Amino acid sequence: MNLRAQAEADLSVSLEDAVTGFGMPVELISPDGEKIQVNGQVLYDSIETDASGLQIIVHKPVVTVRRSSLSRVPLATDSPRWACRIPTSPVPGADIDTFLVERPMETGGSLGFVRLYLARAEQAP
Amino acid sequence: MMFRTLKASVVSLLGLAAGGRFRVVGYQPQGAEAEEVKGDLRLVQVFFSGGQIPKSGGGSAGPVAHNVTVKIELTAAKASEGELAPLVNPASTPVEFAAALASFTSAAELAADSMDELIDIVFQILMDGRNIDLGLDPGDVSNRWIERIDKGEPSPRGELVVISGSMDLTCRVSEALLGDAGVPSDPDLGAAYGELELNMPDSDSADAAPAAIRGGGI
Repeated sequence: MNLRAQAEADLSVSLEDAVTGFGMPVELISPDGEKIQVNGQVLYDSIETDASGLQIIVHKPVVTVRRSSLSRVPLATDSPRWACRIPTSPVPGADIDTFLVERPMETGGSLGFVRLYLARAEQAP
Repeated sequence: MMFRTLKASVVSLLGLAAGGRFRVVGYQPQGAEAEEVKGDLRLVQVFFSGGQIPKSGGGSAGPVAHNVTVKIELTAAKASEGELAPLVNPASTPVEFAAALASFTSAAELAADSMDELIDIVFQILMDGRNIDLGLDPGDVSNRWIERIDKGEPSPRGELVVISGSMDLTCRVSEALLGDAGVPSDPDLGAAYGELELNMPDSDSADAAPAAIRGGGI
C-alpha cells in the first residue's frame, strides 16, 4: 500500500472514529433530497483573510468527511445547495444545527477527504 | 470646532430615528464580527472625513466657512433564508427535503436587499425637510446634501454574507476662530528633561536654551 492509499485508509480512524478519532455525526442532504449519514471532523471556527489582508478568526463551521464513505460527493455545480446537519458542540447528545454547504468546496481528489464550508441557514420570515 | 458638534448631532439624529432598524455609532470600529451587524443590527457609522476651508470664506480673525464632509458607512449581514422546518424534521421525505432546499434565497441577495433598504432609510432621514438643520439650531448648517452613495459587493464573512456601503453627507458650517494659546507645561518637568533630551549647543548653560525648551511654555 503506498503512502496515499495508507493516508486514505487512516481516515477511517482519524476522521470517522468517534472513540479514538475526531468522528462526529454528520448528516448531508443532497439537492434531490437524499440523506447521507457519516462520521466526520467538525471544526467550528476557521481563519479568513479580511479585506485589509489581516487574518481573522470567524465562526464558520468546516466539516471534513471521507470521500469514499459518501454515496454521492457534493459538487460546486449542484443546485440548489446541499444541506449539512452537525451537532452544535462536540459534547455527546448536543443539539443539531442545520447549515447550507457553501461554494467553493474541496472535493477530495488529493488525499481522499472532502472539506465542506458551511453557511448559516435560517427560517424565512 | 463646529464640525464636531455637527457629527454628534448627525449621530443623535439618526439614532433617534432608527427605531430598531439599525444601530448608529459615531466612530469607526476596528472591524466588526458579521454577527454584530446581522439583520436589524445593521450598523451605521458616522464620522468626520474631511473638510475644505476656502480662503475667501472668512477673515483671518472672524468666523470662517467650513465645507464639511461627514462620512456615513453602512454595514449589513444576512444568512440564507428558506423553509427550514422540513430539513430539521427526521420524518421528512426526500421530496420535502428537495423542496425545502429549493426554497432558500441566497444570503448575498438578501444582504444586497438589506443594504438597499438601509441606504433608503438613512437617505430619507438625512434629506427629510424637517432635518434640514441636521439637528442643530436653524442657520447653523447650510447646503446640506448627500453628494455620493456607494455600495460594495456582498462577501462571505464566517457563516454569513456581509455587505458595506457609504454616503458622503456634505454641508457648510461656520467655524469660530477662538484661538489656542497653548498649555504651559510643568516647569519642574521641563527643568528635569528639557535640556537632557535635546542636543543643543552650549547646553551647559540653562540660559542658553530658549524658554520653551526649559519648560516655560510656548
